[in-house]
Amino acid sequence: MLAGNENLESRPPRLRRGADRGSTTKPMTEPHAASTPLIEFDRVRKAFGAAPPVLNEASFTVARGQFVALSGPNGAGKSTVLRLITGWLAPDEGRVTVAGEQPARLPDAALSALRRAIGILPQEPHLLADRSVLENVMLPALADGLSRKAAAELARSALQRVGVGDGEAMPAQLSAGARQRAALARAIVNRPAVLLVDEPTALLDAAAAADLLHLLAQFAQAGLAVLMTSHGERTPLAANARRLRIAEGRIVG
Amino acid sequence: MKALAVRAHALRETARLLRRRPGSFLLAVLLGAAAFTVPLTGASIARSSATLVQQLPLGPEINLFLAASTSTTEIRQLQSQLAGRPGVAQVEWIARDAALKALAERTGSSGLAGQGANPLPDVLVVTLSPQAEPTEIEAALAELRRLPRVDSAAADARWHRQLRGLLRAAAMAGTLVGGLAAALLVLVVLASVQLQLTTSAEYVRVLRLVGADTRFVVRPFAYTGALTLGLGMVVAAGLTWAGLTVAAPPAAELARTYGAELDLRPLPPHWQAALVAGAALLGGLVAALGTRWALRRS
Repeated sequence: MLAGNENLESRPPRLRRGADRGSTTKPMTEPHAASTPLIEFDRVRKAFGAAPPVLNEASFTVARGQFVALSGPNGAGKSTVLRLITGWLAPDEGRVTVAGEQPARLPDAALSALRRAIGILPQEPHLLADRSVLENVMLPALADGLSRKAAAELARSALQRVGVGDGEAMPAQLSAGARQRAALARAIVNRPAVLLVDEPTALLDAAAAADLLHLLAQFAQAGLAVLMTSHGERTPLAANARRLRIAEGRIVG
Repeated sequence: MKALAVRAHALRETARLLRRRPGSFLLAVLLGAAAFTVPLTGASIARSSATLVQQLPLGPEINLFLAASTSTTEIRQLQSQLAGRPGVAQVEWIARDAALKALAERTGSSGLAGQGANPLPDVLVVTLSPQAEPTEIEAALAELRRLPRVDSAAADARWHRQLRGLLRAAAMAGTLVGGLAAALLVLVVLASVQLQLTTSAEYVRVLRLVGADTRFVVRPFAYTGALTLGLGMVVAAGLTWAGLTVAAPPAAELARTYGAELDLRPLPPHWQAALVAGAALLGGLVAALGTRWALRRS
């Protein structure tokens, strides 16, 4: 299924966050050894209003090549974790670090560059219906300033890796599983070092879910730091996956 | 290269936006055109009638009636002296004989010119600057009245006051129309942007998901705003041209009955090009600000 796995290894992942936009953030490719966490939560607290904190003293790390599955019931704080990593939310206390930088403290341009360098696969694929799958997958590369031709090349390569074909079809013509894989291609088109996956199997049948999880495991093997949230703890994972659970605001192994 | 690539992408997305709601875009262009047409027509008429307005005696006049015994040399000296005074635009001498002849012609009374003694005085008509305020006119009148050889002086400030009032009212009306047009244009662009943002909510959501920066998201909407007002101005220029073409012959006919020449014409092409560019810039700016504002709220 992971047709372009070798491509992932031959092309260094680039979480370079604004390196080409004059940001002070440093490239993430080389300085981080396999064991160096790319994502680090250090005693993070996050509350919304007067309600009890969703996260309280939450700490965990995800290193390069790791596949971490974070589970918990609805409202446990899984999406909050992802939003803290992408800088849409800021922690009340503690520190969220992505490649040595704290997203919530980055200026807008650097934060956008960081988000472009993190692959995000949402629960729903959010493919735009008015353009082909290929054009959907090209979007992150175009947003990164690549020419249409270069973006198309990257998109075709990403689509090949996830096994969706050439991407000439419209999203409505794809099955749910293929749409999710196309969204995964969009998430990896900029060759990120970090892949955030939000309950990817929620809308898929068992076979499609297994395919997708297999793909994610292969991406982790290829060197990406994969953090996946899931509703249930019974989601079948590959042997290299690490399970974490959110319980009463804390993250436990 | 990168700058070109993101702009090329923005242009493609602009085309996509327009294809998505062509009717709304056309309506916005027509509303923009309607808002532009009134001030553009006003500006064209004002420019066409500039020569006519320049012929009007805009400056207030003070008539100095000189003593009967004043010699020609003295009158010329006085005329020259007055012409050098600050605030004086022009000094015209109406000789008593010429005045009598003109009066006779106007009244058709040939007997007046044949009388032995001309009862009319020599008159110096002092035209002040058009910018003179009523207090300045009064002060000048009092001062000129005291000059030697001046028997009496009278100011014809009424016409000046009326004209100034008329011009002020015209300027106020112009400002009001311009302000209303500008407000309407801003509303048209903002409403158009809001509509496009609503229909493009998923597109914006995906762009944010993939980390597109604000400028990347905003650019197609800004281009759409620029196109809306730019095209609106083009349509307004066309409407103005058509309107002036129709109105020019009767307007010229009317002006001729007052002994004046009036040729209603649209603004020169390079002015119109500048106005189209300015309108596009305004549209782009308003759309960009509106989109940024909407994104910040969402």
